[in-house]
Amino acid sequence: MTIARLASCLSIAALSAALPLSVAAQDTPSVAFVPQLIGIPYFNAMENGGNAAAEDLGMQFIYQGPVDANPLDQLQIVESLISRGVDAIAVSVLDASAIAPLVDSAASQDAILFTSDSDAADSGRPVYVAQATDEGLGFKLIDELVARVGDDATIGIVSGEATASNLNAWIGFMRDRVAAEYPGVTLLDPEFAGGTAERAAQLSTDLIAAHPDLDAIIAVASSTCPGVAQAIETSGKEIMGTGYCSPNTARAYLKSGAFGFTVLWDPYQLGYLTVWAGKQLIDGAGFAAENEVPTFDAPVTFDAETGILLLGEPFVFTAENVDDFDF
Amino acid sequence: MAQLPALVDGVERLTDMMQAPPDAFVQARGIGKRFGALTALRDVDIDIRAGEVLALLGDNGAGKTTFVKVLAGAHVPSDGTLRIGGDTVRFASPRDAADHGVATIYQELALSENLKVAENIFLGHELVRPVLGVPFLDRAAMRARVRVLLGELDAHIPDIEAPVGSLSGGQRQAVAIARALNLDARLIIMDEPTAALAVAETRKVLNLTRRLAESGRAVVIVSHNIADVFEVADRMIVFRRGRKIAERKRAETDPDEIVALITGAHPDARVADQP
Amino acid sequence: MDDQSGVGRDLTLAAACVAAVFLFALLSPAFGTAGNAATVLRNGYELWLIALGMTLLMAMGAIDVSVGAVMGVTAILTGQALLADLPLGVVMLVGPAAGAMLGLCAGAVVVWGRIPAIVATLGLFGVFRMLIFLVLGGQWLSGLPADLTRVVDWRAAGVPAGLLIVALAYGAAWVFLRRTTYGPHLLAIGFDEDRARLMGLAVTRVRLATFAASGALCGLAGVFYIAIYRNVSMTIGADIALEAVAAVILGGTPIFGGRISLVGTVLGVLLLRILQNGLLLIGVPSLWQTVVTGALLLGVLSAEVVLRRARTGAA
Ligand SMILES: Nc1ncnc2c1ncn2[C@@H]1O[C@H](COP(=O)(O)OP(=O)(O)O)[C@@H](O)[C@H]1O
Ligand SMILES: [Mg+2]
Repeated sequence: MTIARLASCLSIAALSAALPLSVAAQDTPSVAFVPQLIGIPYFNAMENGGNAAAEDLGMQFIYQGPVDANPLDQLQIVESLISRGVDAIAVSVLDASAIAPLVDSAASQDAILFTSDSDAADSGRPVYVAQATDEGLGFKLIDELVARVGDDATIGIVSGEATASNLNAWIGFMRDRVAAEYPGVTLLDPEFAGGTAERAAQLSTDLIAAHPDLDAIIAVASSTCPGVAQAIETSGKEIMGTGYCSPNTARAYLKSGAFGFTVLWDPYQLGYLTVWAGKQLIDGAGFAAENEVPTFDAPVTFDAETGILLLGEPFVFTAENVDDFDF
Repeated sequence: MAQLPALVDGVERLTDMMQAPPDAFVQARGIGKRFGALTALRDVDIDIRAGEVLALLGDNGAGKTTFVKVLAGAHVPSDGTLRIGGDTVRFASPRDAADHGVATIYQELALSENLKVAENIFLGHELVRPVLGVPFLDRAAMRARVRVLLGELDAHIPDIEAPVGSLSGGQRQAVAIARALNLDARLIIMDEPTAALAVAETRKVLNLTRRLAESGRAVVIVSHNIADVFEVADRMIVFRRGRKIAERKRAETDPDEIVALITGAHPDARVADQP
Repeated sequence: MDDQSGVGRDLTLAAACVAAVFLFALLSPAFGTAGNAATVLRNGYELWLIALGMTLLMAMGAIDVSVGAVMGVTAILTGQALLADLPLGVVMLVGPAAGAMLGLCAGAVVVWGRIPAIVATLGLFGVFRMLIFLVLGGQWLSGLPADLTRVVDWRAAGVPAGLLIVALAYGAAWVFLRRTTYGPHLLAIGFDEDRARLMGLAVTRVRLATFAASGALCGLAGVFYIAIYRNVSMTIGADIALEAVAAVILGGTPIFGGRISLVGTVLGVLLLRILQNGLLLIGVPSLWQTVVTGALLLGVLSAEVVLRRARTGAA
């Protein structure tokens, strides 16, 4: 991993050199979104949603992030955006503990720092634009899966980095749901594949060998989806794959039957909502309990106590509806 | 009368040429070598003849190894010309020198100690049978040739499959010499061949050195050991501070004079001490 | 070329593999099955190929840490050749050819740039990864057709073609090392590059050829990657250079060069993969697997130091 780190520093340097020049001079209010890493379809879709919102709302939108999910690189990018005079900056947080000081330093430079997609709850951020609650995601996946493979199933979990707090939160709620509602279900301890698809495939293959009675495997990190699916296809066994996988990543596997369904939200809409929230903050308009957002069918709820602006219910993608999405 | 100095000069050159018969295998003229600001060799003239052992002597840093490396193609000289076997040569690599019949056995650096005896003897000059351009080793032929070579040298190496690193110092010198013979070298250069050897082994290597010369090859030996040199060399050249300061036939000198030349006590050594 | 200690290492490794197999089979009924054995081997294909190139480089006193990114680039090219419906024979050649070119680039930078191999290839790793990023353009290559998968998993008399190809690569390397001038030249350069030059070897040519050969093997690994995983993401190959170096060192080819053990590398990769598979099957969390690998490597290396000290002390 050290090699990847050094190399990513090189590319970060190259990328930040390519950042647009100071945006402070322009009159249109600007919103930036800093993803966990660039170059994956999920965040590309958020970028597209953000661009659409910026157009609809008359804003300038900036999208900039690290090439591999490295917290330090992300912080550097956030700092540079603050000093460039961006009005509002949304971050999909990699390291929650490092965000709090940045929220203050942003405020002192007339910028607003808030979170989107991944939160830093105790950082003093004014709002967290949430795709879904961790609870909603954990429960939804287990409910949908049990409905398909039965309430006496044995289920394996393949996750990404063991330190990713959002992934661990989802796994926690999956366990809670199983303990509370499905006593017959065996949920195995998660295996951690790190970031590579080949490792996810190898872990899944080994899981299948270790548990001949395995009924399903959950790919928790999007990077593990292809590996899990590939291992299931190769095994030729009646095992259902699922996970938090984007339609583009899962499409082939949903159609081949290796995946029964996947659970996620629409990152395009999340990106749109993020820019809308940025505009509300810049305008000093704040959020009501229920908010009308342009192009959204249903009102968007805001919980003043937790500061969470919630996109809505998680979405279930299946072989039937997957072609309606492109991310 | 004005032409007299020129005439004297001409006669001197003529006698020089008679002293250095045209059959000198190597004729080095005005060789100089600089490493940046440091002048390691300055205006060195040396003839090396077939059938003779020539010893190069001098204090540490006098320039012996540098001169040897010029002969061996490892250094390109900064000045001067080199004629070998009648051709003016300009070696770009040790390989060039080897192709002109020059083989060098470096102090401590002659062999690849991780490889076997035969591999070392043939390294870079293996006997091959190309198949589709791939140089397949002709191992049987090489083994046979190794036995002949080692037999010729009367060297006792019980296991030719052993890595050279496991051999004694004398055995390694024998392997290095066998390598030079195999290259059909006409000039064999040995830099400090006896430096790390026990007495009995030193004897053997010196015998070998004589035998090489008697077989019609030109041999250059660099050594610090005056006794060894007087046992084996026909002619001696002393270096000091990058210059050749003296050339003596063995019959015309004695160890005391050579030591005085090396240490700088001899009057002839003073030329090198001038700036 | 293998001296006594090399053979000793091979035996130790083989014994470790056998011991691990017995232990895991005892602790997990799932481990000893034919299916699982096939899985362990199949999971080793890319690492075997990349570690073979790494073995040659390390025997030469060099190293290439960009191998994972080379596998990434060649996997993408292979995937795109597959999508473009090129004949399968061509698809399989694209990766090795491109890999050889990238390896040659690395070699050229090391040889003519006079930059230490680890530094030069670290820089290239960044460049190649950027290349992957630009080519993928943020999208994953996924759900690729299974044509290559069928080739690799096709069985001749019960032996998968993938394993045969790996064996063929090692066999060819063995022939070149033991039966042609390449072997002694490679090891002489690994022992002492300057001395090899003094002895008249074409050092530059051998070094370039070895980097190119390693690159071609990474390219072949890219083909296997596509065959087995049928997708490419940004992080492809992030860990494989370290795994390969670990396997080579475990196998007894020293990092300073001058000695080589192909058998050792074969066994080193096998041991790594058996441990990864077996530990999971007996219920050790995957997080601990890297710790075990690291401990194993440190153990072998320090045992070696102790043994060497004992030997030189005795001599
Ligand atoms: N490659 C080199 N670069 C710079 N200086 C050198 C090099 N090789 C030799 N020298 C210098 O040239 C001088 C002569 O060295 P050398 O020929 O090795 O002496 P000798 O072999 O007589 O002991 C010494 O001062 C030495 O430091
Ligand atoms: Mg010397």
